[in-house]
Amino acid sequence: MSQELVNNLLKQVNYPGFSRDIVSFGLIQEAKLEGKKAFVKVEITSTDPTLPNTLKGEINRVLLNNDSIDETDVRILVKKPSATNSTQQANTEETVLQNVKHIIAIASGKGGVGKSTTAVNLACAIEKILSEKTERTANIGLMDCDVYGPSIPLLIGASEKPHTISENLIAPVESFGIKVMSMGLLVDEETPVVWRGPMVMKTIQQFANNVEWGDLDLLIVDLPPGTGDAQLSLAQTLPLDGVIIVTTPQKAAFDVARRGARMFEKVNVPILGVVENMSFLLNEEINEKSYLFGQGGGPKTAHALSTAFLGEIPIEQEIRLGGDNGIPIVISNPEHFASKAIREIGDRVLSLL
Amino acid sequence: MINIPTNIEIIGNSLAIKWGDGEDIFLEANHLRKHSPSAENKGESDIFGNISGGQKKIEYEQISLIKFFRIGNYAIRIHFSDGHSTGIFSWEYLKKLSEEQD
Repeated sequence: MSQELVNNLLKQVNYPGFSRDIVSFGLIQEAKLEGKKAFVKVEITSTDPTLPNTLKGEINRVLLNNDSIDETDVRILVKKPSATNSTQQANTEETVLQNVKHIIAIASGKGGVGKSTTAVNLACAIEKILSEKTERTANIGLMDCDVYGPSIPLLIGASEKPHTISENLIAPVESFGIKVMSMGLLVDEETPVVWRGPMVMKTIQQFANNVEWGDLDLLIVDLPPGTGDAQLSLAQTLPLDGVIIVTTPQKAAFDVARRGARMFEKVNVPILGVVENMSFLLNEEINEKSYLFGQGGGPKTAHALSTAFLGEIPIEQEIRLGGDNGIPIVISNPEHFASKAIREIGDRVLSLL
Repeated sequence: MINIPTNIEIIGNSLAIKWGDGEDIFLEANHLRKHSPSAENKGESDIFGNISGGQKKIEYEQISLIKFFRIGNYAIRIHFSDGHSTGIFSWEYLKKLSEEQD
């Protein structure tokens, strides 16, 4: 009877921060009444140092409010969680890129739509926009997660080997003010990377944890096409702020792009918007646009995914040349209409973060 | 975007999750272990839909929760006292499990 009274009273005490009481959580070790004195023993495993006192105060308040109790003996036993507990892990987890303000990924379903070219040019464009806006040098990182076919180093003109800072830390390579890390910087061009999935995962985790990115305003992650190991590893390793989907205008590309994008919905990464690449070829002499791959694929994709259409990038020889020479068009010819289009996309991306 | 947790704690033998909208759910260790989405638990299917591996649903009376790790923006991986730790529980799946439990 007396135990029941104490137990019923304890049911009024919720575990701090939740709507369930401490009896339902099964935390009560002992609850009894001797005369008018209540004895209560509660066992918790929290690392929050204020919790025992909060709980004790609340239990005392509820018990002493009852007429049949004038005295209490409330003991809170704090059981230490096992040695490798979740808070320890939480700490190491927080150190993953904790000095990086925003992380966005560039993805597509289909290959060959110009993800890497877009990633490089966007990185350079955003670096310029942010530097002008904040009147200091913006820090932008570019992580190439295409471990089998890395093309970022070529496109941004980075070729030196990253130097080792300490046993577990390597420095990214800087090119046009962008900090770059890519498998292409770690193995020479003639060496194929012939790996099974788990190695891809390991590499992406190390690109996140063992590269000295330092303070970054934005980290752009270039992904290979598809919805495989690289995409899943990235979504599981990094807290992504969002993903940008790149597609070309034809059905063969945007049908697959939608599927590529849906994967990010599944892992709870917001789709920031869709960029349409190779939208048209401009004949500057007669100012006529040819739509080689059809029209409207980008906006259609954005509509189907209920996300923003971020803009179109033309097919342009100078963009390709910029890639081949390792000088992105937004650097070599910022006044070019393609550079301006990319800059506008950069502005929109920044406004979404 | 779906509602994501603002707080997750192991309290007693339950996993307590508080969502962004203020609602909270409580999942018992036994229920979580029994419905772990791991291939070790559920088996894996081939192109014909044949399932190989997996375990029969058994009760885990003495099971407790040891710790959990967050996986990106969408899930947690739970370590159980029997050593099982390969199940990745997405927010959606945890919600579904809490509805089934009630």
